[in-house]
Amino acid sequence: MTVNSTHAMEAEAQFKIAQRAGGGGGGGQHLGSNKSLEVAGKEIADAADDETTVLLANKNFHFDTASELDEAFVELNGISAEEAMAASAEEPDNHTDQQHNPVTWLNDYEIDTLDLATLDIGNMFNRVDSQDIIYQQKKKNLKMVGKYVMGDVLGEGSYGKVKEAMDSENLCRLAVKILTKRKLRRIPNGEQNVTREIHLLKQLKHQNVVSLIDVLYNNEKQKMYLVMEYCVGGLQEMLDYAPNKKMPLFQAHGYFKQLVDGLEYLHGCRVIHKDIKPGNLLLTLDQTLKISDFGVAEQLDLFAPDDTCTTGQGSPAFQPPEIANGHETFSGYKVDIWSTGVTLYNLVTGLYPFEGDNIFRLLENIGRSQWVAPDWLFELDANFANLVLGMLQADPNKRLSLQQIRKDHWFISAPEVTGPPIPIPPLKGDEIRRSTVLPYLEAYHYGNEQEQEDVYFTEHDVNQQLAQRAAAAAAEIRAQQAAAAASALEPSTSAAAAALANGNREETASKKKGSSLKRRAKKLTSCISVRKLSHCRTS
Amino acid sequence: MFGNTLSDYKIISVLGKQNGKFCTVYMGKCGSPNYSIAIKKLCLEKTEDKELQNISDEIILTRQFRHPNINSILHSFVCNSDVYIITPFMWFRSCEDLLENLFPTGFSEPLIALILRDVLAALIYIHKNGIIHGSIKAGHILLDKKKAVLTCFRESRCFINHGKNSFVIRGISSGHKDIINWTAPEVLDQNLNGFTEKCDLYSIGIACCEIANGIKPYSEAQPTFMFTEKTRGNVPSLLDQSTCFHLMEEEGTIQFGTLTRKHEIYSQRIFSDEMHQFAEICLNRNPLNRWSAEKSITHSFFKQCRYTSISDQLQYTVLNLQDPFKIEDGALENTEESKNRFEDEPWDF
Repeated sequence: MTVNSTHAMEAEAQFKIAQRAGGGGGGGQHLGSNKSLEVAGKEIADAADDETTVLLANKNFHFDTASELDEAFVELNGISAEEAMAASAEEPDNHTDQQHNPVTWLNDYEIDTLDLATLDIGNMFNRVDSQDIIYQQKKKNLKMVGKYVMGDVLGEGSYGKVKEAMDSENLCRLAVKILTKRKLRRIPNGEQNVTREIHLLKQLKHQNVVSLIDVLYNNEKQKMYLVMEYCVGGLQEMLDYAPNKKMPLFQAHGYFKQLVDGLEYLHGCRVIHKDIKPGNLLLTLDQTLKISDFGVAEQLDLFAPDDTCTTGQGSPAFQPPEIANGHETFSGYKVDIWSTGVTLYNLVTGLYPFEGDNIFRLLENIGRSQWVAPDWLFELDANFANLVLGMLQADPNKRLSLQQIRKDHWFISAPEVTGPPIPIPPLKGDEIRRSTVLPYLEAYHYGNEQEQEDVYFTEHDVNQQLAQRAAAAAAEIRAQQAAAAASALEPSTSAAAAALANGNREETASKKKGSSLKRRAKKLTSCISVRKLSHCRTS
Repeated sequence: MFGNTLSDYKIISVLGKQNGKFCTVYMGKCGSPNYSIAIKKLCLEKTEDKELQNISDEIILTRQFRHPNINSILHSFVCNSDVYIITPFMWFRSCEDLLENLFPTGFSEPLIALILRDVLAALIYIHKNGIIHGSIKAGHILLDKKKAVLTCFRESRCFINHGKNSFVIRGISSGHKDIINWTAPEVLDQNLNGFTEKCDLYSIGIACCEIANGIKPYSEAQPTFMFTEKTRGNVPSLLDQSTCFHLMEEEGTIQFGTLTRKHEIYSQRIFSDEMHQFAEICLNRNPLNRWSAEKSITHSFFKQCRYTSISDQLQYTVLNLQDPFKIEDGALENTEESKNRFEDEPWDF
């Protein structure tokens, strides 16, 4: 990857605006809204907050939004709300006045607030010129939460961000899941799920289950911090990065064995995970697999006669037929077996046993009939095909149990090592995944030694950069495709197109995280595609 | 030879306590030839599960070693709710104790060479067996009249991961506050590059400075600062004539009684170029540029070991400590005496 971290971050922020605004405007259909924007002077206000990334040079943006929001803005600006309102009311669309317009500083959470406000209004949508969104290079200000030094963002989920951190006393690398109450309230059962997750994680202690180290609360900021052990990447991430989105058989075997170990422990603790999928399986530095995300997990009552469950809220593509068909009750442990089977199949082949154009079709397909293992799977490895088939039995009673899996031929075999395993993808260009906390510590301990000028750049710049990269990547892909087409006998056109799209995505993803914009935008519009369902969650 | 109950052993005195109240070390005797032993008592009830696992791993591992420079475990047993670990009695206990009680400004160069040579011999042995010690420091080097031995394999790591032998070890550092100051930067980095057995050589470098200066490394720095310093390649130095003046100039006005006296000693003594070079090689930021244990032991710094031995070097102390059973009582007085002696007599190397 060539783009530095700040760019990636900015691109995310940038996307956020586009997305949120689109949502507020009813799917981005109101782009033609006549409230055009004036270009504001890029006056630099002093930003004390280290999280400040986005400048909206447009005070008109939320001209008539909820008042609390405006107040928040104006506090940042140092002018009163009335003044701002009056000013914008007086001269809307006045380009001559641009030099005097103040710049509005937005923090990440304020962007979210924007969203809320926009949602309230419903129809309002503002067009923001890309030149007017100004980004500032992040300052590396040391931020401590308790005794933990915070680093860069590792990922972002629906609940909030996951940041890297370091224990300032023993220098262990950690991951911190930051949950904001506001975001939790937006998710159905959000707070309930989190409380359950914390409760569960506190009891669980196993090599293959992600361990919770600490929980911190900040009542002022309405935030909750879950300090967990550091994982260097997830299986989904590795698959996305790998060619054909699959891994060699022997590598999958290694992870599968650990997954079964972890699952056996969980089931022994009466815990049903219900959301086993590559995205929830993480890896530590030494390639130990960790089962994570217990948001929808359920712990059976100590006196429950059997493992009967009534609710399932996992990812659709990994749901067993009994949930797809909407059975009232079903066996909990067998749900995990099914998803483990889908996961294993997905790791090795890059495919899903059931697909569908949309979630309903998908669930219909899952529920309709017994899965039949394709012939080529038997050719690949007959033992493997049999194991997957055994785990993907539509009838829960026929489905293998963990004990049976342990005795399976493929499970106890040691598949031949064929070539190198697929690697953990680099994070923002860093192949060895250095600690992102270190730059913060350096800045803190050595202070102003290499202090740089504040760097500002506009969204326009970012977009142009993105476009250039995408063009370069596309050209590369085209060249590759041409070469491939020349050598191989022509594949079916649709497959070629898919490969092109895939390759393209990978290329851009590997080149820059900035393309997350593109990726997520895609997700927004095409929640229908099965591929992406693994990231979604039914409510 | 060793019994499984406490009554088989005669406890003579308490040598010290570690980790607060849960670990006590006794000096004892056992058997007909009146073999002197150290008995380590660990309270099981008050230790965490993880710690218990570590203890049993350590015992299992250490019992597999057969090397003169590795402190062997003669026996271990559980009695009531305590684990007892029987090891041979080491006359001078750990280097850390010696430094604290008798050598506030560090050991003499020949003694350092003797100690490090023995530690390196032990390291060659364990590295050949695919084990990394992981926590070499003065406190984990015990001294006998004849040799130095390496102890405490609690932080040891093995090259075998998930049933496969690998060339590097990756993972999160175990994060023991007591040892991170000695840990190599590549271990603290905790990234996908991982680390190799060379990390022990870095710890030797730090321990070398520790026993030469009598100062615990980074004792006053924040751990995070220690980390960034190591990442930048800044390391502690051997304090002698060549380095001490810089230090005094930098620090300017240190006029406390003990500190100045220490500084005087530092600024008067001279460590050989070989020793400086040895420490420099060990403390190289890049593990690839560090020498392996096997190569290190051939360094010219260890030439001086040929005509001397630990008992020669410690004969003053030996004279003072005729009766090992009085270590506890005598320790304080000896400290005063030795301090005076150091002031009166110039160092002879």
